[in-house]
Amino acid sequence: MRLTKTLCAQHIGWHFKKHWLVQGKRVPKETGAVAELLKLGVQVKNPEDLLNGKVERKIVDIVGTRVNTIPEDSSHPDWHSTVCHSYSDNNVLIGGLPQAQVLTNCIEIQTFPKQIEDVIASQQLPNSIDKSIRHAILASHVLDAEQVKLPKVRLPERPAFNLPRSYGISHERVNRLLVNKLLHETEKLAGRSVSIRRKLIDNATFKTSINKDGDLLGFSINAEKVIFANRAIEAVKGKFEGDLPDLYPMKTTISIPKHHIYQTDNFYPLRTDISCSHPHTIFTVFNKNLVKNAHGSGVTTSQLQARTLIKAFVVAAARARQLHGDSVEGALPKPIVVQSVQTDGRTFHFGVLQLNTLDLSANNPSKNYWFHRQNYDLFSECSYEAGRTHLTNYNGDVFRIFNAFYNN
Amino acid sequence: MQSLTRLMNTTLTLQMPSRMPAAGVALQQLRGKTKVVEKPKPGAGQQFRRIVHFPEEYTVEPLKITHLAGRDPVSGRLVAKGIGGGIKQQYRWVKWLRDGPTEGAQEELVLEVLRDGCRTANVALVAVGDELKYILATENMKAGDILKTSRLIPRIPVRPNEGDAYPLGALPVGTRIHCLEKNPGQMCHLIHAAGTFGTILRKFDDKVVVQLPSKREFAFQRTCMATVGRLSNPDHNKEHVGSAQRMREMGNRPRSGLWKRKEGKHGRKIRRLPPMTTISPPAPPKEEAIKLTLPL
Repeated sequence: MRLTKTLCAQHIGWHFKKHWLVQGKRVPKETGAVAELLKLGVQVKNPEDLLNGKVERKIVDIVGTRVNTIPEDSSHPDWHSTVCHSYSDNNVLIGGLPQAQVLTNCIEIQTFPKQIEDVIASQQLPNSIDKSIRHAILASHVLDAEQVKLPKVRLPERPAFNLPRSYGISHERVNRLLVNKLLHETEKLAGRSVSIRRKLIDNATFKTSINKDGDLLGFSINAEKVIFANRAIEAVKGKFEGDLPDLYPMKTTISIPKHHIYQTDNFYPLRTDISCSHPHTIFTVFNKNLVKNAHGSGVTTSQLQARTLIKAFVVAAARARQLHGDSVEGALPKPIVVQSVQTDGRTFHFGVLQLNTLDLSANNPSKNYWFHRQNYDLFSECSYEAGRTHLTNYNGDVFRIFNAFYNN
Repeated sequence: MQSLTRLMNTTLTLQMPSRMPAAGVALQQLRGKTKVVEKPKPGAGQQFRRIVHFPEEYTVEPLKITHLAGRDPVSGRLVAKGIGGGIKQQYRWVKWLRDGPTEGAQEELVLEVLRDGCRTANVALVAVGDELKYILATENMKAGDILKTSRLIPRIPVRPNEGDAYPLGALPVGTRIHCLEKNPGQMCHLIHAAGTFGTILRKFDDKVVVQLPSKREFAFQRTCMATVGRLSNPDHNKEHVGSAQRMREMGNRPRSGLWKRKEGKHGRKIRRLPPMTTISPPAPPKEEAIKLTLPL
């Protein structure tokens, strides 16, 4: 039994603290005091500014090995007030080939120039060539010794699944080997008389910038392999008529990223006084892991074909600017013809661009020509099967076109 | 007895060499009893499921998200139960405001209809002029469709197609709509979930009465923009989750004890709906309270 009396008291401090949590937050009511003070000419300041005034920190310029990064704003030396639509290797034109046609003022002709068509139809290739090409495909896709970690594979229907990482030949190496091996075969067939007139360059950069209907377009591309020739390809004989596609309600520059920081210089990798400086054929590689639409979707066939055209156009335009000066506008004295090939190691797209004019405005009556056929698959499957190499549905037409392009 | 032990502990700590920081005791107390953490109540439009890392400018690039697992991002405390884990989706930033000219109509092209992992309805990639944007896809929308947007309210209601955006006053009675602006200019758009739609019931004065998916009727101003049609993925509410693992993939944790027989939560007593409500203009922003710092 308790002897002392129960003290029915509570620790009132807790109650104060709890009450203060609610009452310590107040919205000040407008009493009109500020207006009165201002009327009397008294300056009114926010107490926050007085109590927690900003401390101006002195910036000390430390001299060291680390180079200060240049902020990407209007203080950047390459900053321009006019916006530039900058196209680079990893951009995709969302409108596909029609957009590329309007952008480069090209009419589409769904066959190759007659000269190339004749060569494809009449060329005599030795019987052993298909065997050599099959071997070239296997050597680049399966038999090469490189083993690197390949990109992650995701199953769309099982997104939680982490598949084991596979090792193999990198996409870049497969394509480099394949193009090199196919070129080697064509050079063997063509003989020294032709191959001495061709020079090859790896990873060549081309840059140019063009005004189109008031929009500034900047292009900076890389071609994985370029063939230069000692003579320019002859312009295609004949006149071609056609209309540019209508993109309404899209503008031609849609999906090309806009930048304020850019350079408008023209760049062609070889000087004019070098004997083999004429652009002949460019080979570009398409890697679906790097080249994607802005919204993340995969690249369609039409968008892939647009990429072949744009790359050829940039090479031709950079060459035209180099030959005739940066100020060249309108029709060129002599058309520039560039052949363009794009591949992802399996699918090939061939095209020939004839650049007649650098005036890309919509109402220009003279047009550039883009000759191309549909995409070709070199094979459908190439892998190891039960420990043996396995190549299905080999298509010999691809090499015939390849060979005709080289010899053109 | 407990307080005695605490007292002993305190004295013991105080007797320690003076090199030890004395704040340790205060910290211990702070952690135990007196630290007050303000955390929001669940509901009120906030999901506590993810934060989306929005860039400064609008973009159609899929955005990165951070899962919150039911935690308040400010205090880090658990607010909503039963959320956590799941497959990391990418967020597609929908441009809610369909802004059109006051005279004539602007035409827009649907490029692609895509599945967005962070919402139930599909989204459509739309191109207009030099701009790409996402809008919510309607039931029958497909690539190549041309959509119209206008702010003009003609004397005779327009004959709209699916996916077109007009002010409520321009649409005929009986039209199915979605993405309805609550007040003109207010960034609050109603009717977003898959397969839902509102119906224009009648018009009076400068108001238009719309039946929302909850079947309740609200009177909106006639200049509020709305998009025509029913939202895509209409079978979403009939879809079965299928397995507990699928539930985890969707970012929900195992649950139990939610069946309440007597609370009337699982099945409502059929009552008459509340009468039509007129949507009031947006409330002025709340004045910020001053937090007084008396160390009680």
